[in-house]
Amino acid sequence: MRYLHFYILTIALTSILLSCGRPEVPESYIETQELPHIRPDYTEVTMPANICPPNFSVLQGTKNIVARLTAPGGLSYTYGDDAKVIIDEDEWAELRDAAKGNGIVVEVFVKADEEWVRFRPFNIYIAEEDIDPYISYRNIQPSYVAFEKLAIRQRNLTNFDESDIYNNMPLTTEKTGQCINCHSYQNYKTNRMLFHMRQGYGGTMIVDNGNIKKVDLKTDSTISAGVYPSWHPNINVIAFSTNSTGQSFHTKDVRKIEVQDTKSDLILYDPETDEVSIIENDSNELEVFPCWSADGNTLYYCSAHFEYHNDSITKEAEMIKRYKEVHYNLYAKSFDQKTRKFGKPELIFNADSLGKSATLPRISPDGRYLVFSMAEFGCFHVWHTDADIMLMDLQTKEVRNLEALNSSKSESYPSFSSNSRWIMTASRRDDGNYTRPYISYFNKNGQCHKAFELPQHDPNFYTFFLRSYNRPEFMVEPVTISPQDFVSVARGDAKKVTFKSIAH
Amino acid sequence: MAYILLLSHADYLYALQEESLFVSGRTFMQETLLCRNGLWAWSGSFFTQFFYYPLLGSSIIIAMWLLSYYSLIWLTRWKDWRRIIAILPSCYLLWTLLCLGYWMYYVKSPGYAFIPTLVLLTVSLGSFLLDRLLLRLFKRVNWWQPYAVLIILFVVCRPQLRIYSLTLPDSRLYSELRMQRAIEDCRWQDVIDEHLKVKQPTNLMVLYKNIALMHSGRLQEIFKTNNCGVNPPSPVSLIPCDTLHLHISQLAATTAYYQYGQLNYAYRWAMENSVEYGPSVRNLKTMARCAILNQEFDLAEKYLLQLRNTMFHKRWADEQNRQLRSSTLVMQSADFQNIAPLLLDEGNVLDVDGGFPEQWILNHFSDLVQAANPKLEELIITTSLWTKDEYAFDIHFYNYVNNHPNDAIPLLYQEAAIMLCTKESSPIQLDNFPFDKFISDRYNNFVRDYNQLSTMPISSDEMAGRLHAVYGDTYWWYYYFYTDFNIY
Repeated sequence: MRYLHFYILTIALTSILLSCGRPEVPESYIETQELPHIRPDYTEVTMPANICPPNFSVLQGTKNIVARLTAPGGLSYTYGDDAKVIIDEDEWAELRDAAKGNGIVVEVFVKADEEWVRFRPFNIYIAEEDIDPYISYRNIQPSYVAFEKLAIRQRNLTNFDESDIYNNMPLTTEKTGQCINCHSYQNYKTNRMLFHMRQGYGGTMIVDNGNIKKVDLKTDSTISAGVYPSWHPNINVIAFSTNSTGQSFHTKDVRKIEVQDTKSDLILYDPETDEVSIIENDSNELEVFPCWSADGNTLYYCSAHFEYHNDSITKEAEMIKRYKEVHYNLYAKSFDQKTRKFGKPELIFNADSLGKSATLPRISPDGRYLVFSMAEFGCFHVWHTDADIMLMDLQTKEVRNLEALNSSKSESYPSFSSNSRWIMTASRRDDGNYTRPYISYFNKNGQCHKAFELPQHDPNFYTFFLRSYNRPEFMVEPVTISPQDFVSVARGDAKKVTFKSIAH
Repeated sequence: MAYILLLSHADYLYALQEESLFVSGRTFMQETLLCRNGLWAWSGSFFTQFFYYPLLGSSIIIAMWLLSYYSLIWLTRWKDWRRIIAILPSCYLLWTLLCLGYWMYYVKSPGYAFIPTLVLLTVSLGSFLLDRLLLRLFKRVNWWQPYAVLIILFVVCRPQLRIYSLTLPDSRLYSELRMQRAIEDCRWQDVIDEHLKVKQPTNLMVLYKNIALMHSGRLQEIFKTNNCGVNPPSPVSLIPCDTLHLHISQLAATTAYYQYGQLNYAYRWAMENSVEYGPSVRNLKTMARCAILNQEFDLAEKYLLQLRNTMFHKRWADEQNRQLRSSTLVMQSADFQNIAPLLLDEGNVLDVDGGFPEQWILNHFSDLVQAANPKLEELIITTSLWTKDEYAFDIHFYNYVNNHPNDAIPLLYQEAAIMLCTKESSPIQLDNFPFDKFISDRYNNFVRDYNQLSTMPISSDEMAGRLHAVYGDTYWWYYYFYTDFNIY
């Protein structure tokens, strides 16, 4: 009896130590040529040289699994617990560094019916290039009109650290909500950034060299406050679209929602003088999604030609009736950074002629490529199952589908990493409704590799997480301003901007 | 006493847990804890799920109240009549729980049903334990020490104790909840019986009743089963500026749209209400069922996985999961059998409902031109009568008699046609159709009695009452005397 406590303690410690032990590869097994069913699907993907571990679940109907990861040179580790492969961060760094420019071989063993089965090994390739260490996104439920809990968050891609940049909960009451959206940065850095707040404490939060201010970008001469932004890469001006936006709902189509602009223009905002000027405001054109070229000498944007015919109904009603007629093309305007004057619009991709609609253009920082989203019609492609990411070679103007990045579900909001080697997109391939960040290696020859889902520490995280990753953006550094600092400024009044003139 | 009160509201308690959600696992916990008052919300949601079995949930909450009561007594050492004071907080919480009523659809604090009780338990038990600790450390120096501890802890927890109402809800809420549950179980006769028990049903009860009639093939009885709904009175709030305006979009949009085969719109409102008022079992079930019938299987699997990780809805999720990738099982399910004919209403339409689902459903079906099957045909004719859309009825009736040249015309359609065809604008020619003599005689009697009463010095309400005794089961009475059809 006197040794009872000692025995209990010994047994408990032994159990703990045993449970922490590394799983062993079975001595005997049968082999199958099938690839294992894992989630997220990391088979044959190419990952950055600085990415966090790609933890995954094995969905073979059993919890008895072992995975062996082997880098060139023979460095090898095994994992496997409760159908999950959770890779130690330090060991992953060793494997990843050893496999740089090459591949890590992953063997998955599953015990089924008292017998171990070894699935066909697959590779996780490690690129020579790093990826930007941070991304930011808005976590939002894939709702329609309602919104409640919203957060713009940042994630360190080299590990699993995640934190709020801004969370609307401190300024949301039961009666007055606060929508936050369209976070944007200048040149992937965070000393110049912005995001919008709508409804409660409305305004646009502008961070300029670390100083926060809140401005109201609506003037009597513009359609709305600024909406979709693009910060000029060299000088301190921001191009915005201004939009009159409405929503309507499909009764049967799995697209479920159409978000439509009844009118939209482009404006230029100068944060130093708080002045806005018109870039484009053709009443028969719906101009939207401005995007600066890497050198800042060109502004790309989308525009759909749309003339209203029926005076007996509202513009909103006519737009709902003719929603399939809205096709956006890609345009470019030259920009003189000294005089801040724009040239004439130049059509660079006529999607309408193909019966398609092109939106959300983004330029690679090396200036060579333009990626955009293309679907049958409309501008809000996150809800369009047919939306795919397309690539235009700006030298040849050749356009092609980035098949390795796309899926049968919606892909939208593409963006390049700052070294032009990684393309991230907001994809709904997991389940059709919840948007997840997928990243694809884009090699120097302009070829995309199979996309991988942003790794999470818990591989089942995406299954249970009922919010979307909206507007994923690369960043080379984290936002260091605290959410509390943003809240303090958000509580104050927004400074009204003044309307200057037409900028072309 | 508390048991009796709670168990007499078993359907209400069951509905409370349906409007709440607790999923075991880290992701749900993290998401809930990130909310304002997250720990209370998470623990409140945990305990609310036990109302799935009202007896179990009631036992837990009563046990908490008893523990709070004894903690207060132990703390204060009350031995005389003052013990009654210690039971008052629990009585108050019992009352406020029952008074929550329609607020259950609108409260934005997940697990609200249990939160005040958990706060009371924390304050009372916490005070008792803290007082004992202080006593042991410092010895008691003042008589007021336990009271001070109690007050301090109460002040710390006070923000969680928002009370929404101190008056019991309209009793028809309980009928609505019973009907809602019967609809979920496809117990159509129970829905109709519940409706008939209430003298003045709400519009929502009428909507539910007509869903039951539709799915049991008895839509011809729509005006024989009291189709005159009223708006329920808005719940009285303790805070005047916070008056609650009830909307069917929050109360029943998911059920109504789903039962009428409008899967996208049912899904939409399940999502909107989840976003606005927090996740719930009811909304998750709706989203899963819509996704299955829409053949969005990956999406359905996602929602079913959430439900499989609940304590009491795993079996439901497993049943749905079996249907997930088996079209045969889906087609054999009662849900699909009921809804399938309605899915053939028309092609995709881009539209908005303006937050008024009932109005959208009625207009949508009333405005349909062609019916692909008898169920849809019956629905579009009766909705045109329900909304008194004479123009739409004329078209539907004309189509009906042309499509059924050898069939007897249902009595309801005859009733409506006999009355509406006398209007100048109507294209219907009475002589062309074989109306039953019984109907035409009865209609003539109605016209005679109506005209006779019109000449008498009585109010329209009295006139309606007198005619209701004889013609209350006819479309004529509904058409002339039910003028209070308010959409909410």
